[in-house]
Amino acid sequence: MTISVRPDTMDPAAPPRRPRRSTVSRVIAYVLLSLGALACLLPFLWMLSTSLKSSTEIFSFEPSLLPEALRWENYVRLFEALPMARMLLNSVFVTLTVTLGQVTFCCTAGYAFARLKFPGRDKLFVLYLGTMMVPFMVTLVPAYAIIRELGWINTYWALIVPQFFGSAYGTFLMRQFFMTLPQELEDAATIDGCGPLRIFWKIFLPLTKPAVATLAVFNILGVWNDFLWPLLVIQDNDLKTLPIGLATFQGLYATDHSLLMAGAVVSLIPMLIAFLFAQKYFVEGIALSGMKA
Amino acid sequence: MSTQITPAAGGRTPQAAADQEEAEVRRGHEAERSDRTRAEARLGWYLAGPAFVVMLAVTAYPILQATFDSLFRFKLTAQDEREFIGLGNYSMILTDPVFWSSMWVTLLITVVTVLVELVLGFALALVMHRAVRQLRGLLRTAILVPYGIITVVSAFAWFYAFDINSGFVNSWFSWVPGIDENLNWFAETGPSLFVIMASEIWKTTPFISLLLLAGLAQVPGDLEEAAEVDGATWWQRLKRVVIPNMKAAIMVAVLFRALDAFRIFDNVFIMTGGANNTQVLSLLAYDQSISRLEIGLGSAISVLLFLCVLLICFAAIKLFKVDLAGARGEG
Repeated sequence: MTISVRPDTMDPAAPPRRPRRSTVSRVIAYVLLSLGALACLLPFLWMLSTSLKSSTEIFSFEPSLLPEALRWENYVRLFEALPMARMLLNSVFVTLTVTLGQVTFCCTAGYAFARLKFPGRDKLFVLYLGTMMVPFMVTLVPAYAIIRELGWINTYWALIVPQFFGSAYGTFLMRQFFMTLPQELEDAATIDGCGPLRIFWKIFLPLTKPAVATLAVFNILGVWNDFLWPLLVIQDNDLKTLPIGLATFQGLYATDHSLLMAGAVVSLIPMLIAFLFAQKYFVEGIALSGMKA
Repeated sequence: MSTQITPAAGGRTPQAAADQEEAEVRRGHEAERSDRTRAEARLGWYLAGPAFVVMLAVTAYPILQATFDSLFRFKLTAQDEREFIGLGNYSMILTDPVFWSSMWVTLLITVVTVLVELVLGFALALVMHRAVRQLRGLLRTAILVPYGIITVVSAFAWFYAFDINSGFVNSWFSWVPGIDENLNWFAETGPSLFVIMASEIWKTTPFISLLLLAGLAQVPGDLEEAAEVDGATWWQRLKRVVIPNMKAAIMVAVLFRALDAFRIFDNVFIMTGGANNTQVLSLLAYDQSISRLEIGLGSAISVLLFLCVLLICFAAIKLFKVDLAGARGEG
């Protein structure tokens, strides 16, 4: 037993060995890479530079990427002109709460759909998957009517509850992941007298870190980005999240591009932190979501 | 199984007694097993239950309500004049050129962005796949930057960049034929759609390239090496080995993105608001339901949008022959 090969030491994300890679293809790859990175980053660099320019500079005839002087005071003005701190707090609170709920309910539902037998399971799953295809626009007005009936307009409830109890996409992702875990693991635990709930909690859940990281990041991005729904249910300035806050204040400061771009940069920072935090699990997580050929 | 468990009728012979005993033991096992099955089923329903309730509350009920509303002439500001008109809203929409023009614009945006993103995303994924280990983390994060920016804000940024007064595009790219400092991108349909699509592509290519990178990681390396040893060119290896082995990943990426692109809203809402024939279906439904409070008409557009999405999914699933609900990724 001790001499067995340990496949777990192999890095699943490592590229296949490529014994004879020519210098030419390497150079081409790096040129492509640099161009791609530049294309990805150029609009962002422009945002960053605009956020540090004065307004006369923004409207000059010869726009340059580098600002004449770094006007960090634009960021101070941003926090003075808009309730940025409050908007950040709202966005962070809503995003974290929704993600916590999503991860919990997508994990449990994904596990049930993948590993437990119950009547109607597969039919229910197909139906649930079908909800992924429903455009948000279709449910918008009736959902708004429900929220109004509940008296939740202008509350955090309206932003959190509709998304809290899981989503088809997340459940799909977790189900695919749970299906790839070996049956032997479950059988061994059952023989040792483990019930399904304990198998889930003690054995399967610890193995799902990559999938949970993926789900969490997709979710954080999605909620952070949400525009239309908050726009409808929130009018109170104190409850505005970043997207609607920045977009509505845009109307008030229409010519002050540097303010909005500073807002863009500030709103990106929490996402970068989330990426850096999760990215080592991230790609492996998608790789394990069952999209096998 | 059930035929084996015969009712034990007064067994007199030793053989019969043994049979009976055995049957009883078996029945005991079965009771235990069905107990466990029942417990498992109950747990299954408890765990999947929230998903079911959400489906009913957030999707099923609203769809039924929207379909119901779409059969009425119903304006929120004139609630008393609500009137059942059957398929009246649908015939009105389907004969309206504005609907068809938004339909074509939406389809055009979907097809162009998904195709371009697929090619770009694939190139990025290939490069990321081969990048040296030390750079990989940095690369992934850099590539994900556009994806992390709020769409509404990125829409404003692209709008400013192409703006005739403050944008850098006109002065930096004046060497490109057709671009000069007097070009007003948002005055005409073609250039407006170009900017909308460019912004959409910039924003979501990272997503598709991540999905494709995951697919690439699953192509068996020895297969590719064998092809290389046999003298296959880079293009042949890509076409005959890599792509066929990641068909399912490509399909999922295309389907997710196509569904998303078909519902495009934020970029158009911010940049043109649907002016100059850049109206898309989501925005049209929004304008009717939210801006004009024509709930009946807006609901009918939404239902039509839903039918189109169903059609796309159906076509995609038939075309790629992949079963999303299937077990263990046997796509």
